[in-house]
Amino acid sequence: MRAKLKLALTILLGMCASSALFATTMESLQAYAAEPQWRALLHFPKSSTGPSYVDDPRFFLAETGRSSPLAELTETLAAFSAEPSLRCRYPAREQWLVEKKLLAPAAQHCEEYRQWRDKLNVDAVVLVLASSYLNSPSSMYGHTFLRLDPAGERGDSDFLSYALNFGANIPPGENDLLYAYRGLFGGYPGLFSMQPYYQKIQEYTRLENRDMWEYRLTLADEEIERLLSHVWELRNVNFDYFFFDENCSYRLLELLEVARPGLDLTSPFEYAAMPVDTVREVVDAGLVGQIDYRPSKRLELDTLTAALSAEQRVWVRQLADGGKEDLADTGLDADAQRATYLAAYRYLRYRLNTAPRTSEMAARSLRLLRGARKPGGFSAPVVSTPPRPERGHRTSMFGLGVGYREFSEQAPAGNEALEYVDLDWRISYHDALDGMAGYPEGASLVMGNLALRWQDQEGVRLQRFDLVDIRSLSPRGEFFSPISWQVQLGLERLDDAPNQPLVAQINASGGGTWPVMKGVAYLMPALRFEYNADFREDWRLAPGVNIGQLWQGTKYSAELAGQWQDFSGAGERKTLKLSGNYVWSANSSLRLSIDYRDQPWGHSHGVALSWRQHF
Amino acid sequence: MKKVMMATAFLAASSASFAVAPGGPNCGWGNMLFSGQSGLASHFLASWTNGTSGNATFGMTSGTNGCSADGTLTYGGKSMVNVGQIMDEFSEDVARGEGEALTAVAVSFGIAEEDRAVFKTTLHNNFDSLFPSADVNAESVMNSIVELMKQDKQLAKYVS
Repeated sequence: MRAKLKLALTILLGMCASSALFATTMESLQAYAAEPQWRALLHFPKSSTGPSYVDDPRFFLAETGRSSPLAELTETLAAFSAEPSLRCRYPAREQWLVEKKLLAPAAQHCEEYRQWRDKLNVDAVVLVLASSYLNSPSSMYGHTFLRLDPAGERGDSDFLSYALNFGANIPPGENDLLYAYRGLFGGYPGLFSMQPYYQKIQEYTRLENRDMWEYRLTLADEEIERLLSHVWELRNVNFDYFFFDENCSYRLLELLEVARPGLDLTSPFEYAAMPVDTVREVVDAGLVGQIDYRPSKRLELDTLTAALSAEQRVWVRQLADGGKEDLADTGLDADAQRATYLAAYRYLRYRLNTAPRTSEMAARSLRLLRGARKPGGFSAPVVSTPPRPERGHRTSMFGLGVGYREFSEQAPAGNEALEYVDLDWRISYHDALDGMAGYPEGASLVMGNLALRWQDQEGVRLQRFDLVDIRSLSPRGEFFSPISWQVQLGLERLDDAPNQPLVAQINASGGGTWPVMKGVAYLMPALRFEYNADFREDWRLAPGVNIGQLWQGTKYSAELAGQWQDFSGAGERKTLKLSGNYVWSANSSLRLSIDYRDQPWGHSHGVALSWRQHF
Repeated sequence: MKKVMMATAFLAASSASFAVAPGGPNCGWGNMLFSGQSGLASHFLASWTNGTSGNATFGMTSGTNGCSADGTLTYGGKSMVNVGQIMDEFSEDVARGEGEALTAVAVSFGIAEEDRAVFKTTLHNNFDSLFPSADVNAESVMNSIVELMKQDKQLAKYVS
């Protein structure tokens, strides 16, 4: 090791002496190696002394490069002078070393790198957030990637931009199940890849019903230069992908730190990087200029059909289904006909998104599109821009609440009533009653929810722990009939049962949601699997039903929820609960709930009030 | 299974011009109107891992079997946005007379901003000759565009 260093220094000093550059000593090299920008180029964590995040030995020139920035610096200098073509593989390192006068500029021509840069010809970088998508576990919290916009006229259409994405690269023929598993629990090789931005638009807005938000970054030319030269160094380099911390969003923050030295974006996200939180960090750091919104195709279609009459909507379905050839006999005027054809066309295309092409459907699509045409061009209604996701409430929550429960027969501890104080901590993310601004409608996504309860005579105990609680309510309508579902897994203390046992439980339900009274009503058959060490039969399975009505808003939300579970021999559990949430400010709210329970061990009613702070 | 079916459809639809057109189903000049997104292989897995399926290029190469992986294809020596992959968006833009896909094609042809409105109007007015049937493929749409441009005083200079 020491000999290697000496050799490197000798080469270096020889080179430097001849070009009259600075003489470099071991001490000063050490100082250079500790500089944040050098560490950033090697992906060492900002706020800890751990090894580099890069898990790919091919990225490092020194054998110990992954753990030692100094060894990598020394070896980089030595390797660059021994093999000048290596400079083309590490243009960002080269640039930094030249800036620091540790390396003489070279007239080296890097053909492949130059071709790539010329082809991209980037003059603007955009941070893109694809909104959350409950139907895919890895996308539940959203996804971020960068868009690279070409200079000049080519920048006039986003279809000519490239997307730079950090994620898994799935080799053809890879074992799907293994990847699916590792996608959730981490550890699959992630790498940067590029693809045309229009493919991302197709993937997100067409296939997955996801809105996209485009945050134009205010990077100067030399910052874009640093970013791209470093991206080139990461070509084909593997990072192990982990869902919560070392994910797509974290990697992008690292890139931005390289682009603009002195930025610290990653420090807050060492343990978890929620995409929307990282976007907020980038906005707060003053890196964002213009922000654009790109609604999903589904939302565009909903906006289009909402502007039609009930009669027109019936024809839209008939046209798309082939039950109606044209609108000649409908008495609609020309404009109304075109709007109807356009809606039918988009509805048909939407339904056929993933279907194999048939000439019958293609011919019908073309016929509808022809009907939608209008001399001079048509315009479709514009989807109104919803509140921006990074302006929504923060993704962790702390709550403090008080509650009171009264029993009609006997209370668990022999009293007629009990009073308690609850302390809640939720790691992530959003439930249906939280302020809606910036979050998708009908979605609840809770991971890691812990409730501690203090109650007289019992002291502080675990009241509840939800590992996951996900509910997706998608309203059914004239055009679509999606399934609504819920899964919940965790521990729960039955606070109205004798001795208040702590039970482990899994709940799953699936059913439908319908728009009712300016909110949505849901009906979902459910199954509950419960383990209770205090009961004679400790494992129990109970079929049941969840039924309710939900109103969501940016300021007020409310839900009336009924639940029935049939434990057959062990009786039925019935609860009815009304909850309301008032958003006090972006990150704090007040929640009130009242309930009535009819349980095998007695009746009770309760009220609870809590203050909730998002952070 | 799906792949086999697609390949079969591809063979059945192939014609003389098709056979020489680069690209496979859903990716090249041979791609037909309204092919949908079924060509996005293992989309489920890609979405599950936030990843990309197929070979991850760096915007550098044409991928396997002549299927453009970088979003462009060569047409008459010019690098064009891969119209075969954006046929759905493009046809709707032509019907509408405006849109990102239409602009992308205009810019790919090198049409200056002041001439773009004429280009868009010309295509819009000739929707039926660009898309005479739903079985038209990207290559023949491109040929029609070039023909239309040649006949227009303002646009002819871009294709001469």
